Amino acid sequence: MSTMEEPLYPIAVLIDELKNDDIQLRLNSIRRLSTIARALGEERTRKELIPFLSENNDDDDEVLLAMAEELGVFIPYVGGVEYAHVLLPPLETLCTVEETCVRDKAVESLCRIGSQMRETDLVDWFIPLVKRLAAGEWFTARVSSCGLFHIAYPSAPDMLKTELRSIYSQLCQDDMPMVRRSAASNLGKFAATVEPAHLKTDIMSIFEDLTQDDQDSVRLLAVEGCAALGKLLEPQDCIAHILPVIVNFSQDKSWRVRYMVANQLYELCEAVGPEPTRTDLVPAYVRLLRDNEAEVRIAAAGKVTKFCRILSPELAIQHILPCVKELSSDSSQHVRSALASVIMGMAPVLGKDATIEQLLPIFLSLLKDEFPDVRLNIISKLDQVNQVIGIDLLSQSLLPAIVELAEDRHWRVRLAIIEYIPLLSSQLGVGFFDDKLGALCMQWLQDKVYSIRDAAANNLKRLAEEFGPEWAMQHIIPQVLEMSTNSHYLYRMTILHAVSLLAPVMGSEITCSKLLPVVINASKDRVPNIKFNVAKVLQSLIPIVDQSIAEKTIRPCLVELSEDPDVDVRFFANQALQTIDSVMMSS
Amino acid sequence: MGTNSLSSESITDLDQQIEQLMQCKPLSEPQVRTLCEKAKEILMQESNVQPVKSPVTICGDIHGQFHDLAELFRIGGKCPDTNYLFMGDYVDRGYYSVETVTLLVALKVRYHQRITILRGNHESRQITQVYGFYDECLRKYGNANVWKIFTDLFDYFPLTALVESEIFCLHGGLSPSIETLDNIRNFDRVQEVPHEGAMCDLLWSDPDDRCGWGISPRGAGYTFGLDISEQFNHTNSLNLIARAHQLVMDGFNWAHEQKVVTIFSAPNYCYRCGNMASILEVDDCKGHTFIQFEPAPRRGEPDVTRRTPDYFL
Amino acid sequence: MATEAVADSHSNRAAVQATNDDASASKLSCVKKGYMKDDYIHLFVRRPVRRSPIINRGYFARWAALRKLLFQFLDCELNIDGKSDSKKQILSLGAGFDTMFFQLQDEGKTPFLYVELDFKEVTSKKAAIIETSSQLREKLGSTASISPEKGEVLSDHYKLLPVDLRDIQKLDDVIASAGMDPSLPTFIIAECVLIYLDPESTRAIVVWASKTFSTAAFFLYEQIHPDDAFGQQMIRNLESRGCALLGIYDTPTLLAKEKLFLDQGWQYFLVTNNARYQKAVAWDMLRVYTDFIDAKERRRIERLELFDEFEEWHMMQASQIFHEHYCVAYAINDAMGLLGNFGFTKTQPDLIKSPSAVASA
Repeated sequence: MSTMEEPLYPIAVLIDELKNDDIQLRLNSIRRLSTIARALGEERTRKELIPFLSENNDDDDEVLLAMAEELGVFIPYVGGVEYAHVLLPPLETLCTVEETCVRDKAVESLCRIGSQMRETDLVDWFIPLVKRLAAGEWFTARVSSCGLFHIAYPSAPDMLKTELRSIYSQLCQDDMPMVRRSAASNLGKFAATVEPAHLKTDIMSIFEDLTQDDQDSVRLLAVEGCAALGKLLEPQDCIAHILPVIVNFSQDKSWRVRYMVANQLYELCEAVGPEPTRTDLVPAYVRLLRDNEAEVRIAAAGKVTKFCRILSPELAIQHILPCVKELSSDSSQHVRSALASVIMGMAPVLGKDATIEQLLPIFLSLLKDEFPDVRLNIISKLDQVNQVIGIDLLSQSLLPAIVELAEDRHWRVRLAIIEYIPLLSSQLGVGFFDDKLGALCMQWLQDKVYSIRDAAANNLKRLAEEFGPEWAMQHIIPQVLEMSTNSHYLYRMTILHAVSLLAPVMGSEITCSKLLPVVINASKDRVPNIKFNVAKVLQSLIPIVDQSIAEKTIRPCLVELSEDPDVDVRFFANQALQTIDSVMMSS
Repeated sequence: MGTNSLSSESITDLDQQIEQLMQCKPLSEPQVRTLCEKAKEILMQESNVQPVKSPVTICGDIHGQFHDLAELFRIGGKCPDTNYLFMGDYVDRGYYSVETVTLLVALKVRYHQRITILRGNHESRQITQVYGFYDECLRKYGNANVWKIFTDLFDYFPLTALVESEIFCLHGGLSPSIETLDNIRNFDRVQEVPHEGAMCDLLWSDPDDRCGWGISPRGAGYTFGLDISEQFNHTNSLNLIARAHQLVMDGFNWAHEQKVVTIFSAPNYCYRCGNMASILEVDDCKGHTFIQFEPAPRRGEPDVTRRTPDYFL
Repeated sequence: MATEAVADSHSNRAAVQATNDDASASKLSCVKKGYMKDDYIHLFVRRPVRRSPIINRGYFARWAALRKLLFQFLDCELNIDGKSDSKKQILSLGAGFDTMFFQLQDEGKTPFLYVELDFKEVTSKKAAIIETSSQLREKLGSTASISPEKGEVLSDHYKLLPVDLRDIQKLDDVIASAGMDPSLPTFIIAECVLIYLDPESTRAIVVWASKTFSTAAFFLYEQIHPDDAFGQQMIRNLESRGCALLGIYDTPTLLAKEKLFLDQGWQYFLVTNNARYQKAVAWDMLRVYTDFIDAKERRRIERLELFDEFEEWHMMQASQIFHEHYCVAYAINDAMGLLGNFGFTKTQPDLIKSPSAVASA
């Protein structure tokens, strides 16, 4: 039984499975590699399994990906860190394959292994590997090598360090753009391991080359490097070397580079500090907000609140707010949508007066935007503004727009409005609930869309909770009950649902006197769906009403329903009867 | 009688399964097998022209667009509260045929009075092997058993339904070999959809602007004109033929002087066509209301965002 | 074929290059189902997939239309003494992993010169695949030099070279180094290539081609009508995979495609009356499919698979209700007066031979 008795078994099975035609089987066996290695023992894993894997690397990408991942955590199975180097050869091969995600995973695993390896082993095994890959004939090897330098570099002796820096610099000037891209995106990680003296000389010159690359895809990655490098440099060096690059990038001829700057600007500001931000980066940001390309404006608009937070309110009002105004009527709906998703957050930054004078009109125009996403983004964040300007002012200025949106063509916009009503009413009190809004709340009960009717019923319950049963008795219950004879069964069902939600709020007396009779009456409905919903509602009312009522009124009704010709009516009636029985038993 | 001899344990199981399916998580193979056995018992008792009472909400093609089916329920209401009549084509094309058809069959078993599921031309062994359901079953279950179980069950699906003796519902359209509803009632439907003949036509035909019968470009079924629809409705005292089968950009489309309506319930069909979907509510008073809807917003669906539909590139 | 031209803007270079793999996989799907014959495309597909019938049929239509026009071009002869052998060139822009050259060779139609251009990322891969495949290498002859590193293949009749199509200056150098003779009749192919470029680059390429090749036919296959519901969804879907159709708003209709050529100087010279004429024609794919592709072939492929995608087929290819979404456009320059019989004609099944290679598929 034990693996000791049949030592050849697992590796044979693995080999068999790894050669199977069915990719699923191959995948499974790769995912079980650690189990197999444990069974084989450390030595046979090193001597048989790993060499076997090194040779079997012409498989489907999915299998290779799984292999690259498994090998990353394999150190314990080969005998610990002193043997970690045996894992390098299969991963080195995987670093050269065509499929990017396999290569990436192999690099990740190599980094994971390298970071555990002993320093001498790194020099003996890891650094030569990095050099081999960097000199690889096919570009995939060189692409992969870029991601390994930050592991190799720290333990290298000085001579080797100089060589590694020079190799990296060559990779940054590689003929293949893919290699330069990889070098650019890994530059930050590598730079973090390089000594400050070399940082300012070697690394910065590499960086400057990359920022002037003729491929925008390379420059793009250099932008990302700005923030990382900036954090490594002294502030004055950062201002001298990084700031001009950012300003240049913000005017790059490729929109994708400008887009990246817009996306990263906040992090870049952190890297250069507050003062240069004010003098140099505000103008750059304003340019991006007014960029010709909608994509760039989308990215910039989405950062407007974050950016304003690091400025003084005065600067924000003076420089940023005018752009925000322009963006609120931008020709691209996506720009307006991005702006709408963050603009509410500007209110606390700008303060009450500026919000009232400048922001409110923008909110209003966005609330009326023709694109539903824009409207939704504003509605769903209205509460952020409450705190700044107070609900009174907000409701006064926004109410007309809200009323309009309550009848919006898109049901999710209507839904957002309904969900906002309880919040508004809790802050405003009864006075807010004027005729128009009251009528709207009732109108939603007869919306064509089920989800709106459902939300409308919930809304009534929350309003009743907020303003109390007496108010509800006057402003909700009569109107709701009036609709219980609507000609459409789905609307009658909504009313039943509303009744079951309102009953616990209204209390036993009103439930018995006003609500229950309506429900009982509905049990005579011609539509079975109404009848089984009556059973469900009655079931929910049992705990609310007196036992005597339950016995006298509810039980007979349910008994009748339990003999209905319709199977579903019988089912739900019997469910409710069981509830009555158990309530009676327990009392 | 006796079709709903579900024990209370199996009702609890079913309710759980429906809840799971509503989250777009498929059942296990043994669960599907048990479910389909029960479904077969129920479906085999239904007529080729299954009578349906109003009120009911009539829906067209779904084609594995599970999240849009969920949106349909958000618009039309949940089953069993809302009565539904689906006119076929639950599988193929979309990414979630398995979840879609399993959910509808589970609802049928749990609430067989509340939901009617007709057969569409895609509920067939042959066409599901071309258009995705077979591959999806293989992908999700590792073998073709679930495909086999469902396609065997499809043979039992009723072909047509009759709402309050007025609205004749079916997937495709009329057939030159059928004059009366009794013609339909009389044949044995439990078989793979044939390549020709009455049963094939019901699932494949399309209304057309031209009068009379025409050759269908689909290679199966016929095209039929206003004169044919008028005659058929008159002979069978019908008000309306409601059918699905064809993509229509507004989700519904009247034809033949309002004697025929096409209903299509897969918005942005194949994630590619940009069309609206719709459902038809027939209320207690037999009033008709079309409700249009758009695709459900797709959040947290990484596999959909990664896979975009095919184009010529 | 779909390739590889990426603009520096909205499109993601890698994503647009990935359309090449997508197109190759689709073509292989067609081959496996018997729509067309191509003994080489499988060498370029890592992972075979099965496409739905609508995609197979669409690729077939495009392949058949291109071949028919290309064969017309190759068959155009100046009748000097009954038997002339005018040398012809083919220039494929953004060629991707297209295998047309190898097919032409098998069919005994090898042109004097077949030049393929694409981004270096693509030509490197293609060169590497050619290098490792003896089947392909044999077709190129023993003197061929193949360099995946440079992304180059240079043989007697076939050249593969890397270039960024937007770099017009370099285009001149590249065709010179490929040994193209601008005075020879030249067939230029751009399948789903220019549409990914910004409109200025597209116009620059069309002007360049017109000025460079005095006797030429320019074949364009790409999308139109971005504005209706189907078109908008197409734009959204393609953008979500990183392939914005940067050029589509500039030439959104058949007329605009024709105008693209006419405005950029495509014209031919009629010797008989010494006058200059302009000719550019764009048809939507439904029309190409029904009126240009051989009826016999159409009937053959329509029997290959169950087809239940009619509404969509019409939307993708064309229809009266919705606008067409793919088209073929071509323009000619004809200084030699060679191309009089070139262009769309209604099919006359028995007069025009169907591609011979297909029959056995």
